[in-house]
Amino acid sequence: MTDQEIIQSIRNKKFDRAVRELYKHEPMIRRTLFKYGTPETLVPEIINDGLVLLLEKTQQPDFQLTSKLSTYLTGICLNHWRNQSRKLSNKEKVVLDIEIAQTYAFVDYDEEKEEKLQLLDTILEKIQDRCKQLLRLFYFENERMAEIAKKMGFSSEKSAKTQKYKCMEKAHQLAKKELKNLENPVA
Amino acid sequence: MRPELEQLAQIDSYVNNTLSAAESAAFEAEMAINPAMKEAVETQNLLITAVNRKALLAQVVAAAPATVMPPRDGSILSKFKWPIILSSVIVGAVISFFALRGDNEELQKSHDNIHANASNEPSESEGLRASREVDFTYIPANPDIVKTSRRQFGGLETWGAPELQQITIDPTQDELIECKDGTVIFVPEDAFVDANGNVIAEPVTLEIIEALTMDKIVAYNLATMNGDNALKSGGMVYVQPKLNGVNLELAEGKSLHIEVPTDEYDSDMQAWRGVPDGNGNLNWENPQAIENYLIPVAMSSLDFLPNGFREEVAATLPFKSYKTSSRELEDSLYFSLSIPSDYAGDDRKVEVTAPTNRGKTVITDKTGKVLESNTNTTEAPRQSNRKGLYRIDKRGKVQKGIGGVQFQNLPDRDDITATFNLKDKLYNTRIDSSVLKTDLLGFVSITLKSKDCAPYTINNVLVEEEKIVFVDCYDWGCGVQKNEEPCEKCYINPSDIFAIHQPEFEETFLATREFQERLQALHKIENAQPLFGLYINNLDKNLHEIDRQVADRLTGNDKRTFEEFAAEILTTVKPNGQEYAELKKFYSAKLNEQRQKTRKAQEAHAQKSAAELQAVQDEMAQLRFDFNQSQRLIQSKYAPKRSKGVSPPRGDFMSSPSSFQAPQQFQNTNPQVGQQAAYKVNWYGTGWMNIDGFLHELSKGKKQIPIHVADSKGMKVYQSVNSMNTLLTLNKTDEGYNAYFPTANSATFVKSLALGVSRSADGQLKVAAQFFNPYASSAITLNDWESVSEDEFKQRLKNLYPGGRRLLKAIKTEERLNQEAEERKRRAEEQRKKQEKELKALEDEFQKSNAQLEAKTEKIRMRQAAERSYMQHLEDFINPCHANYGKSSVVSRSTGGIVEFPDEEAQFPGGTVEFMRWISHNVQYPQGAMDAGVQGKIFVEFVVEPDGSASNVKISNSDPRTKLLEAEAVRLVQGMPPWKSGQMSGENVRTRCRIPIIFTLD
Repeated sequence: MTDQEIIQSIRNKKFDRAVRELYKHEPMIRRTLFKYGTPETLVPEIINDGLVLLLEKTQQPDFQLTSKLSTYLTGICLNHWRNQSRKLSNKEKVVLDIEIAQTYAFVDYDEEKEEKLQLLDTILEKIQDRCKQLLRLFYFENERMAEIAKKMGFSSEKSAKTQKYKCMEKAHQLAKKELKNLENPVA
Repeated sequence: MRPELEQLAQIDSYVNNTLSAAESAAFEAEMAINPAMKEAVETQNLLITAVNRKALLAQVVAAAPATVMPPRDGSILSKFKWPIILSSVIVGAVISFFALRGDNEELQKSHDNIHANASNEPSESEGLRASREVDFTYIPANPDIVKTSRRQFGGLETWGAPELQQITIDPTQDELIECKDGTVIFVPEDAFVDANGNVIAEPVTLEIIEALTMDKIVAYNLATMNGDNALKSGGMVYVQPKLNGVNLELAEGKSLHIEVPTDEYDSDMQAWRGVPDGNGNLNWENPQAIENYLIPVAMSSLDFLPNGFREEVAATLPFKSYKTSSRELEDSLYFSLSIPSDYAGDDRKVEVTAPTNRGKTVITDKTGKVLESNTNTTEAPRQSNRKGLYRIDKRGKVQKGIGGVQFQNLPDRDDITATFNLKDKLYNTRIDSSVLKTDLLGFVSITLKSKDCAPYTINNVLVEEEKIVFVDCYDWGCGVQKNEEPCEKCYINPSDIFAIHQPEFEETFLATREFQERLQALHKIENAQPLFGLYINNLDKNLHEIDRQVADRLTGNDKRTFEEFAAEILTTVKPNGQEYAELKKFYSAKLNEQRQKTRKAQEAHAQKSAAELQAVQDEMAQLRFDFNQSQRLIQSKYAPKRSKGVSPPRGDFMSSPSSFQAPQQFQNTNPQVGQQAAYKVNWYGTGWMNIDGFLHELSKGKKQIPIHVADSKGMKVYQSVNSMNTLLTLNKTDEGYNAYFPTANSATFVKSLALGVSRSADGQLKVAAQFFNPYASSAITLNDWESVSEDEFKQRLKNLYPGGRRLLKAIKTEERLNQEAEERKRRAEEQRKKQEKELKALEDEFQKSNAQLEAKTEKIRMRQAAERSYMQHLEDFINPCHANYGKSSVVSRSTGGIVEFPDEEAQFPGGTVEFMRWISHNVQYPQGAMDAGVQGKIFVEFVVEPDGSASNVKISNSDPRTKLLEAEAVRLVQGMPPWKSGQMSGENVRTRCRIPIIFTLD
């Protein structure tokens, strides 16, 4: 598959194929990550997170590919690792590199945003499974509220809607607290 | 809904773009004045992204290949919460500690291993280490053994049914097959065509028969004849590709690469094609040359240590705190026996002080007296002491250390000034570049003839710009010229072995099993260093040419050994052939596999003897403990200041009488593995192939011995000589079946065999055999015919030919190994007794003078003497001269006692952030590097001493491209304020540290 074909299949939501195709670059990325000191145990997570970011970015209508897709993915993974490693280790002293930032500057990686998103990821872990399912169906699967109500056994579309907002409220509350901590870390 | 929820609904609608234009505008207006609202919108956006990501991740994980996906348990964030390190100043520095083994390369290796799903189970730490060295795991295809009653193969009718091996392969890709008796067949992709010439893509079945031993050669009726010419065989192989039972052919231009194993490589051999005569017999025709190039293997699968050294270490431990052997320990012990680079006897020892600024040089002797200085500016040069082996890179720049850069030719310089110090005399001579030689490792040597130092080979040369500023007279090549001083060290310098055992030499003949065999032979020869040099300095030559050169310089048995090597006419590593990569993988994997087996056996043995030793060791440990305790008591009482090296914090670990170095990674393997040679053929065809050579002795002969046999149908009479692997079909004449021999009495044929085989119409096999001496009898009668079943027939043949040469050799090898094992056992026993004795002495001494302060140093000296004697024992072991090793042979260097895994790592005062600040304030970007635009990352390795000072500072990634930065990196590290030293059990200890310093130009 060419890079354009991969991007096209991502835009057609055929993630499965695209991911399998992209995974062919996994050894190369893995090596590069090792080069920059990523611990072995973290590599799969970094790569998967990188893939998620790539899927997300390529779906944006204004996305323009300025390099090979594999290079782009490597760049994302490295940036992601760099961001992660800032939180790493006193004990496991990590080789950090400004080189990453320089070499892969073309990758649009918003560190601040990514940090917030990781926080929200942990927050989403804290809310109820039912909430998670509801939000996923609505935002990711783009399903209509009526169908969601039916699928999840709500009495009416309206109660499903209310439930959704309650879930959101819970998430917002948690997020507000945590995001504040992020900006003003407790000394 | 509650108002809060209403607001969320509105935000959600806005974010989802479902508001009307007017509503949207109103919302934005409100957002502009209400920061909480704005924040909520932002959070909502993030929330949606996070929800989507979670779902995406689930899909990514589902789509990812299963093998590379460990379970994801939570986010990275939840697992690590540590402070931030980041720097964006011109020089960024980051710390990684050696103890962590944060070495990228190593991680890389272990990764590759995991990625390839290595099947070696890393059960214990040693196993893990060993498996890391396996670059890949190669599982050779093993053919199925098929029981068959067929006796027709490629036009040959056999007596007994052959052992048929069948394997199904995918013909669209390269395949490598390892057959039961060791034949290796490489099948390139798209190799097979049908009768119409169509390339086959369906799975193809290969039928394989191996006939490598005489009993099989006879059982399969494989006479070794080319017309009337007698042949001797190195083994025969039948390969027939089939598709649905129909024979296939090789495509044009394709060839099978076949390797037939052999114990004794015979360069007379050729590959012959078996052509059926129509009566069920084969005639061998169209001989083709055997390939004599070398197949390199992964360097890590070879072992360059002298044979038996590892076993010796395993058998004679304990040493210091090491009770059980490991590869690392063995390697370190071996490399500890390296001859120091400045080893030249005290009178010639010099130390160079070279300033980092180019063109200024000061040479001092070891007392600090300035021997020469060309510093002509008033500016004091920044000094860094450089000492040791030097090499020169392609641009003529100096590289320190060994391993790494290869240097081909010195630049053309007809007058180089050499300043050197020989026997306390300073010379300043112009040197013609013709006497200046550079070996492959980049070491420069000069052969000088002078009254005072004649003729010495000077090995350590420092060339800077147009001038050689330092030459260390270093007479390592002892033993070559007769008028030299007696050689003190006559084994090959272990540091050179280390230098060549690097992956960078993998494309040279150094990385072959054949070279390993030669090196093992060299290890046994006295003063083999120059001979060893012949190999490493001539990597571009053919192996047999060097074998010849080496043989020419030797005498006696050693000469014969190398003459035999030379007779193999092995060339060198073949430039990438198609089969090359697969074979390389295969043999590397084979060697590794074998190595691990041997290792396990060795460990099992070691465990056994370890149990025996345990009692003694426990006792010893207890005594040492008591001893140390009393030491401390005494010291705390009488000596407030602890003198370094007298009472180490961890008992016996710290004081280092010899240059024993703590274990370091060195990829290596076990000896005696995979050294078996093989005949290599690129075979353009299918069917029967025979590795045979003419048996010239028989063709010469005219002596005729008739063999009388009562005639019967379907009978053949053979003449055979077991020791030659030859089987000749005899023709019937009026006098009987005539066997021919050389007229002159030849020991080879004294034990000849007359063999008759017949098969009657009903399929009954009959056999008659008789040994005879053709020089003692004039005629033979074969009359003892016996009816046998096929199995009985094969068994009979096995008895007649007890395995042929192959087995005999194996038996011999086993005997030799047993002898060696016995010898080792004896030495181990000796060593143990010696230790017990020393222990006893120590104990006696201890009891006698426990209270006496004066006795304490004496005891430690004794223990050190014991350790030194152990090192000497090892040195003696690898020393083929076995005598006269120098008394203070091993120069003490303060490399011992480094604690690799301290409780607390050493650190810069104030931590990493401070360290980076310090670096960025103190760095002086070298002007030369700045002009040349050189940037890069320099890894500096050093030891943090208990007092916090840095010692043993060295560059660990020396690279000609960043050469200009190294001096500055070293200067920085040497100029650091004292560190907070590492801690172990509450005491300051020596720890290793490795930091990268990044030089970046704006």
